[in-house]
Formats: sequence, structure tokens, C-alpha cells
Amino acid sequence: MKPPNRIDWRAARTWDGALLCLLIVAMCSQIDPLTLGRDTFVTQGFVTKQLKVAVSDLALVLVFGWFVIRTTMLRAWSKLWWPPLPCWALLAALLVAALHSTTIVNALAAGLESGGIKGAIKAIAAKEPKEAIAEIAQYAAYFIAAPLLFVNLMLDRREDVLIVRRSLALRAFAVATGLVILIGLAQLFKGSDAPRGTWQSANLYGGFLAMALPLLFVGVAHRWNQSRGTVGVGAEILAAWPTMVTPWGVIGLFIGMLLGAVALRSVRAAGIALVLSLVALLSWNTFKPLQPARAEYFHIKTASEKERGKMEVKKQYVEWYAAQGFSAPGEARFGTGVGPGNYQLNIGSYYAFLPNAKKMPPDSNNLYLVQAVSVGTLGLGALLWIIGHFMGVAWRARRAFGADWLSAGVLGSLSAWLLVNCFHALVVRGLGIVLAFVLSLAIVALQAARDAENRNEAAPQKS
Amino acid sequence: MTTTPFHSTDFDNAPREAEVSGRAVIFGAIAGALSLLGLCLLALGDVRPTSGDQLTLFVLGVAALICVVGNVLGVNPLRRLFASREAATWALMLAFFVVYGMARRAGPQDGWRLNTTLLPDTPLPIPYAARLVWLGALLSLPAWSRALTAPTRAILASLLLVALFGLGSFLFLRRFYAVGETEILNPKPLLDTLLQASEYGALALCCTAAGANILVRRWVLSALPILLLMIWARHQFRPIPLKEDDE
Repeated sequence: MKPPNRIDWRAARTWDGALLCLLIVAMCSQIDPLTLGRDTFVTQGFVTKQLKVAVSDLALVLVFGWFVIRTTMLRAWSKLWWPPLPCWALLAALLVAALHSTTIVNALAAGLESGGIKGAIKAIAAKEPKEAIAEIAQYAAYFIAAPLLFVNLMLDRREDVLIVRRSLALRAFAVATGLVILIGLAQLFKGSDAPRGTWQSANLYGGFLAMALPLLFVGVAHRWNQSRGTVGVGAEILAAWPTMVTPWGVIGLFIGMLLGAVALRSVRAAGIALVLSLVALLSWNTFKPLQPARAEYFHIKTASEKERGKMEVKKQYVEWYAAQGFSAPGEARFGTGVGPGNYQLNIGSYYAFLPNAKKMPPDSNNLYLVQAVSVGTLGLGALLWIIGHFMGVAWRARRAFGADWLSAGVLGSLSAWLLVNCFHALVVRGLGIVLAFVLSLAIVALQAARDAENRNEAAPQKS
Repeated sequence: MTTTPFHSTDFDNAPREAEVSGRAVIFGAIAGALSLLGLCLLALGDVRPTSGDQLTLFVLGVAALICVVGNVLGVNPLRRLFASREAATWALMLAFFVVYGMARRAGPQDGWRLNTTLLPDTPLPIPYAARLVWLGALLSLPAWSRALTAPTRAILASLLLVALFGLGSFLFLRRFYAVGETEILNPKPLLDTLLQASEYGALALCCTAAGANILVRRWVLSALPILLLMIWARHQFRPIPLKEDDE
């Protein structure tokens, strides 16, 4: 008989499912209820960057805390899947980049010299060290904690049972994506010229859809007779197009759909993706409510804010060249960068004579160059290693178990991600967790392949 | 959700790395290891390290020492780290990307220079470290060509990506702005990027080669903490004095 007031941890699997769904819904947004740090502009006359904490971050912390407690109570630590070597390699690269950054080390040394341990702790709150710590924590969350959570909640090993929550997770994701698109549509009908759904900018909204919709498209493409899913996802794709402003998001979306369909080896799906993309791109400029905002993306030049009447190349394109300044020979930053999170604090000094006409729209940076400048080519290499590793896992799952669609969906989604990041950096609050979710699905797909293999081996023995 | 009987499976067991062997591989591995040793010797020379260099060398040296001791004592995770070619290659790249930054500044800055049409009046100096890694990469070809690991491919991809973005943006911007060292579009950052991309690429190949053969790998990883801490100690306790024009 169960002692009174004692939690039955075996029944806690309901909580696992519920919290998994909560995390999936929360990650599809970038709502910031919390800001850390003081607004120093009013009181002290200078600006220091405040750290924003999103709903998705809070959900991740909450679910991770629950996960640690319940895994301890179930004594299931030895049964967990752990993130592979590339994820830890990225963390190591970030730590080395922080240690190797002269500005960060000098700031800490100055603090230590002036005020001892207290001085050093105060120095951590200064610009460069604070950004570095925030960035390291963020990357640890997205590439270690989040994949650990997602894989172990979707493939829940406890005692002698494996609980698979793959369908639950994917349905939650489909519903959350639909809600985001509905909010985007509502914004459009309210007169917004750049709908952004639950995201801080239209660029991130486009990036999110570019990752989410190829996965869902492949999910319904593998079996067209699943009418509710097909209608639902089809409606999402058709509704997404009139709300997307960034052409890079749209191009990423359709390339993701096409490559996902090719990986699925479905000629019909590939045909549909191709037709949809041609129609969307040819009619891009005809949708009047978004026409000005969409057209702006194709303008190479913009009016200078500093010199009246002068047109200069847009900052987001100039910055691709300015970023090369990190390779200055005397600086020794090519390998390890200027320090995690310190891109914005350093990029200005690399402009020299290059024009800096007008502030670029939010989330218009090239992720690869941001990563190279802040964490060096070592850090960028580690990030590419992670993506390559999980794409390799998805590819192996695809070859081993052709009947399952999930691996093809992952390949499509990650292909879109790789392209969109050239124009909009997507490792940010919210989208970082979405990326972790997609990476985790590669592992889930491989498990499905192994299960199928084991069933095939077991079947002849039974007969 | 579905509940199925649990099969004890390794979730994402990647294909196990096959060890490569053969005389050519061993020769290549030794060539790679010797070029890394050469970089350490350059870093021990007349180079003034930054505060970041010193701290990183110390921390990496201590971490490497813990790994070596752990391996000797049979601590399982550290033993697996030693045995894995991918992990070893990554560890070497982590350490030597820092050492290379120092080694690059060693030696006289005149001597070999690269003349380019983009900057005819400002040839680019080719440091000793660059010559060493290029030669090392060439001689260690038999090793790294048979043992190209995932981290090596990722690093080479990152270098290629940075170089392509630099080149592409330069070619794009030159349609709008004048090119010259004192003009709006200065080609020097592009040339620096292309040069360093080739150097760090060669360095990555040397690290791959040094980790290719299991015997050479063990020796290199065992020597790593000694080398890193030696470089740190040399500059910590016998720093290069400041010259008058540096003050």
C-alpha cells in the first residue's frame, strides 16, 4: 500500500508529457516578461545592454528543473541519452573564446586589482564579461540542456519500458505553429505591414516558419490520406505566405520543403513544393498590404542618415565585409574571436572607411560571421559540426528505415535553417530551442529505425 | 504516446572510427606532430603574449594534465576521450589555435612577403608559423587524407565559409566603392582573411594528422600539457622586456 503524502514518481509520466507540450508551445515565441540589469541611461547617462529573458527560457528552466528531480527520484540517470561530442566541443570553444579575449580578461584583472574578489565579481557585471557569460549560458541551454530534455522526454526510458512521445510532441508543435500563424494573420488584418506573430521581428517570424513548415509538410506528404493533418498543415502553409515579409524566409521555406520531399523520395511532394514555391515567388510583389515592406528587402541601397540625399549600400551587406576586420594579423582573433556575445561591441571598430548609412533592421545579421567574429573560426566550426552531426544521424535513419518520414523532415528543416542564417541569425531566444527540438527529432527518427530493425529481427523468431 | 518494451540500444551510435595504420600514415602523423612541436618552439621565443593567451594556456594546460592523469588512472570518460580520434583532433585544435596565434607573431616580419595586385605597395608578410604549418600539412598528407575527422571537416568548412563571405562581399561592394588602402573599400582585410584561412586550415590538417595514428596520438596528447604549461611558464616567469617604443 502506498504511504500517504508520497509522490508516485511512476505516475509522473503524465507531467512529463504535459511539460513537454508546454515547452514546445513556449519555444514558439519570443515574449520577454523579464529584463535583467538596470537601465543606466537615465540615471548615469550611458547605455548598458540589459539581458532579456523570454517565456521560452523560463519554460526551459522550469522543465529542466522538473526533469532533474524526476530523473533522480526514478534513478534513471544511467538510462539517459546524452548530447554527443560536438555539443560539448561547442561549449569548450565558447569557454576558450572567453578566456582568450583580452578585453574580458583585462576587465576581470582590473576588477581583481582594484577590489579583490568583490571587485572581480563587480567586473563580471561590466559589458564584455556579462555578454560572454550570457552567451555561454544561452548556448549551453540550446545545445546541451534542451536536446537532453527533448530526447529524453520524447524517448522516455524508465525501468523496463520505453515511452515514446513523438506523436504528442509533433502534434503540439503543429498546433503551436498554427497559433503563431493565426496571430500573424490577425496582425495583418489589423493593418501591420510586417506581421511577426509571437516574435520580436518579422525576420525571426520568417525564420521560424522556414524551419517549422518543411518539417510539417514532409509529415503530411508521406501519407496524403491523413485528411485532418493534410488539411491542417496545408492551411498553415497557405496562410503563412501572405504574412511573411522576408524573402529569405520564404526561399528557405520552399527549399526546405523541396529538399525534404526529395529526401522522402516523393515525386508528388517535390512537385507540390516546386509549384507552391514558383507561385509564391512569382506573386511576391503582388500582395499589396506587404508590398512596401517586401520590396524594401530587394533594395541594395538606402538613404544615408548622416549625409542628406546620399544613397549607400545597406548596412547588413556592408557588414559582411566589415566583419573581415577580425582577421587583422596583430589581433590574434581569427582562431578564437573577440569573445562570446561581444560581436556588437567590436564590429563598429572594423568599419574604418566603410559606409554606415542607417541602422539595419533587427535580426539581419549573418549568423556565420557573427559566430566567427565572436567565437572565432573554432566556434563556427563547432557549430557546423553539430549541425553536420545531426544531419548525419537523420541521414542514417533515412537510409535504415525508409518507411519513416521524420528524418526527411529534419533534413528539410535544417537545410532551410542553414540558408536563412546567411541573412537572419536564428540562434536567439526561442528559436535556439526550436533548433534543439529539430536536432532531437533526428535522434528520435534513428530510434524509430532501430525499433523497426529489432521488430524485423524478432518476427522470424516468433514464427 | 506509446509504450514499447525497452531494447537496450545505443541511441545514436555513430559508426565507430576505424584506426588507420601503415608506414605512410605513421610518417604523416609524425610530420604533423613535429610541425605542432615547431609551433610550440616559436611560441616559446620572442613573442609577447596577451593576457588572454596566458590565461588560456594555463587553463588548457591544467585541463590537459587532468585528462592525461585521468587516462593513466583509468577514469572511463577520460580514457574514451583519449581513444577517440575525433575528440583528440578537437583537443589539439583547441590548444593549437591559441598557440598558433602566438607563434604567428614570432620571428622577423620581413623576409618572405606576398605581393598582390590588390595592394601592390603593401606586400603581406608570411610568418614563420605559416611556412611551418603549410609544410607540415603537405608532409602529413598521407595521414590526414586517410583520417579526415568530422571536426576537421567542420573547421575547414568554417574557414571556407568565412573566406567566401569575405570574397563575395568584396566583389559585391567594389561595384559601388573605390578600392584601395586609403579608399572606402580597403582590400587588406580580405587578403588577411584569405591568408589566415589557409594557415588555420593547414594547422587543422596538421592536428588531424597528429591524431591519425593511435601511437603518435597518445604521445602527442601526453606531451600536450607539458608544452602548454611550459609556454605559459616561460612568459610568466621570464617575460620579454618591453622595448622603449612599446611603452
